[in-house]
Amino acid sequence: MLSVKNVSAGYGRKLVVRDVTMRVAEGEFVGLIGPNGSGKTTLLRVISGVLAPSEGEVLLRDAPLRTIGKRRLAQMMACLPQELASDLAFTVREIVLMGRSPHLSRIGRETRQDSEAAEKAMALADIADIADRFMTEISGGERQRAFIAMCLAQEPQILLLDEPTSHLDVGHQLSLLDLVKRLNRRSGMTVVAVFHDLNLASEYCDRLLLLHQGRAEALGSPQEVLTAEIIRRVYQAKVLTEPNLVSGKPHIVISAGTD
Amino acid sequence: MNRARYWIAAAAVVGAPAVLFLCLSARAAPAAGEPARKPPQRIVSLAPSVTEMLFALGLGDRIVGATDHCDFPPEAKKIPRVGGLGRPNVEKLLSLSPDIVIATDLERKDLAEALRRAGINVLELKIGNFAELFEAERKIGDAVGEPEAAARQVREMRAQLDAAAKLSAGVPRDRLPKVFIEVWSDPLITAGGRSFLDDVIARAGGVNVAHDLVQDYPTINPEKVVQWNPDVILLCYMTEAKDAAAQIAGRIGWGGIKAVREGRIIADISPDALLRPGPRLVAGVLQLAERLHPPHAAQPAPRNPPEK
Amino acid sequence: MFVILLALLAGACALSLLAGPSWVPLSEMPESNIVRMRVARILLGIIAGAGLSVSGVIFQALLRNPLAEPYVLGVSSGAGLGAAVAIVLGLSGTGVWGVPALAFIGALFTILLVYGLARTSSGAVPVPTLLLSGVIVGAVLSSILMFIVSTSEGEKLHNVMWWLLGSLQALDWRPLEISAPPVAAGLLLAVLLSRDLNLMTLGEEPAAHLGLNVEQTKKLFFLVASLMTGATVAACGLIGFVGLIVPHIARLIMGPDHRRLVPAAALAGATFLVLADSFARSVLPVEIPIGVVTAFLGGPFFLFILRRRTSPYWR
Repeated sequence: MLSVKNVSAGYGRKLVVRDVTMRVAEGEFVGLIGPNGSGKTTLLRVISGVLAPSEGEVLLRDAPLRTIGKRRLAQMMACLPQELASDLAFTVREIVLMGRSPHLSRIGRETRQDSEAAEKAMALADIADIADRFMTEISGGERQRAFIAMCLAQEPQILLLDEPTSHLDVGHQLSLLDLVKRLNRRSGMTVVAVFHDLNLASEYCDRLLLLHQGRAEALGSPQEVLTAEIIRRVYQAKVLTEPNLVSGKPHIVISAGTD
Repeated sequence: MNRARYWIAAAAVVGAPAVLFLCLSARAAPAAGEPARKPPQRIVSLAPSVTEMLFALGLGDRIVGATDHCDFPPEAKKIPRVGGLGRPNVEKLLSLSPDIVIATDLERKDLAEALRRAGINVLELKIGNFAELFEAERKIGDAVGEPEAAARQVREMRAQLDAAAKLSAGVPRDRLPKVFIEVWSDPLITAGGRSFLDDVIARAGGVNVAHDLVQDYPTINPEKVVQWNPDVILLCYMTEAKDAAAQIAGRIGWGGIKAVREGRIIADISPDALLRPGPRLVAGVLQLAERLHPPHAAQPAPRNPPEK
Repeated sequence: MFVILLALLAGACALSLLAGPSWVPLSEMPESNIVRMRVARILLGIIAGAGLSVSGVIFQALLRNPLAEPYVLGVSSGAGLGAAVAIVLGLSGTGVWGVPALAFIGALFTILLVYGLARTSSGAVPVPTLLLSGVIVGAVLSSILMFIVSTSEGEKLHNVMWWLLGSLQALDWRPLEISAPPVAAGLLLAVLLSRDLNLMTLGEEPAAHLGLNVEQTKKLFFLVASLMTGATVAACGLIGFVGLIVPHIARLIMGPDHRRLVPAAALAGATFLVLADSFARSVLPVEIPIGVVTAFLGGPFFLFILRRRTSPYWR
């Protein structure tokens, strides 16, 4: 579905991502992990099309990204950014409806079909009860879910998430990721997400790409990637990995350092 | 602190220096210049009108410095320049070692004091109407040691004004032509009751429609001109008014004004003759009087300018 | 709500027809010359008011800053400089195109300069760079303008100062001929593409993710807004405050959805300016520059609205 071929990218002369290659199959849930500054967000921005790579290319369904029209791309791919505007005076419903823009002509109005898609998205994101509240009046977690609903209203085939859980408490973290996982499993929506938290990544992702100083350090299943040795090398942190008591996936166990 | 106390404190902080300033600036006004013991030989003129008056008194060769605008008579153009109207370059002025400096409207009032402290005699004149013009002529005459020549000048000017007045003698006040003075078109500026132009119009036998306006040169709403419905429109731009007359006739809503309908838009009297408060002004008054009250009885045939 | 705004505009126009230094009896109404003069001013006020307000809305959306307004990118300084040059060269006066033409050229020059300086090698125009470029260019042009002001005398000085304060005085149809086409075109475009403006308020990246060609949209809107501003300035001089405050007032009433905000701002701006002009030409025997009136009336009015707001429509 998505193919990243020898992509290098950066800002100005500085390269943040170096020669990364990766394939994402349709319906996969892939996580991008790595220390701060390793290029995760940059790579995601290249995949989403807002940042042009200095080398290499990204193919979406075998078509190079740059040949796909912006509107067409937005019909296929949705992206939830890390920073969310919090001063918007729109209602939740209005924000979610903006997600329908790729499916509308430039000067067209929304139809009944669009309203229904928005309602469905809001139901999925569990914010139907605050649909008429203003974005400025709801909590950070609710805002995040509103933006998720906006992405879902795009009816994308692939969803990109940039640290989607950073502003959420543990309850909302889990419910959000559960939602995304459900959509991934039931409708086959491909997901590529940047994770800060290794355990969450381990739990939810089919495969992980570990970035270190812009290069692909490891690519594979959580078991293959999240080993104590790799983590020590990349994060310079001594941890233990144990199977998760419930799911069996690798679980990073930390303990406070001595002396 | 609460709101009321904040505002009171703020007022006090602002008010204190203001009061202090007012107290300190209440000083006596500076004394006017004294006439020199012997007639000054090196005169600097800071106004074109003053330059013209000096030349008329036959003292053109004693002028060592003049403004950029001093261009009449032609010989005046050869005089070294010291700056613009009311804003001389002080260094240049001092380098000419003048015995006396004669100025009207100085932009910076303290300049006169500064020159006096440097030992230079300064004569400041205010010329806002004809009475003040004659007074200025006399003062100049005294200051430069030519009182008789000055008195002669004044008599000549008065004679010309009388000649102008004769043209409208016998015309009852309410039959005098109403004149709209257009000082500038964009924005529309006219001359008010206290301006010199108002006096010029009066002496030429006309009535300034804007006489009741207090400002010297107020910016007015074009509607007022329609309301006043002047008999004559006089263009007094500082520069030549090229095609202005035709433009004026085409203005929105002006087609009905009497002056426009009858084609009585005067655009050909030289601006220097109307705006420079000097000897040529009386000639301008005479010229204007002749246009307002043509010697023969026939009126110019009314023309219908094209409506826009 | 729109009905109310339309009614307000109609009311303002009616008032403006009646207001003025002279009283025109109703029986004489349509034919009177004075009425024709007032109609010209009203039309100019509607065009300028709508143009400046919508321009302000666009700038506030693109720059995502509530303090943005039509003059923020230096267009006012460029146009002012053009007008000052024209005046000093003696090119002003009734029927002469010198001042509006040079003012418009000045505006155009400023837009191109600011944009050119802010452009990156890939053709993108980052917003912070654009703002900085606008402020710098504006400052430099302003300084040249101030130099001209300081060296001009008497009449020319007065002329320049008056122009800098703005006026709806319309002695002929020139100002309308200059401003109507760009403003009309700009309004049409803004109305048709209002959804794009909505998307832009989410941020440039989210807007791109929703399918918007952000750079193209930015350039198009900046060009349109700057041309509307330039045309208005060329026709009427610098009328301040309208482009900053009316968008906020409209937003407080109508909300941030640009599909309703743009028409509302246009109507509100037109009404405001027509009212201000009625005031400017009838209160004193002489004309007050309209820029003075807009600031004088607009400021307290806005403060009043701000204090009474209970609606959540506030950025």
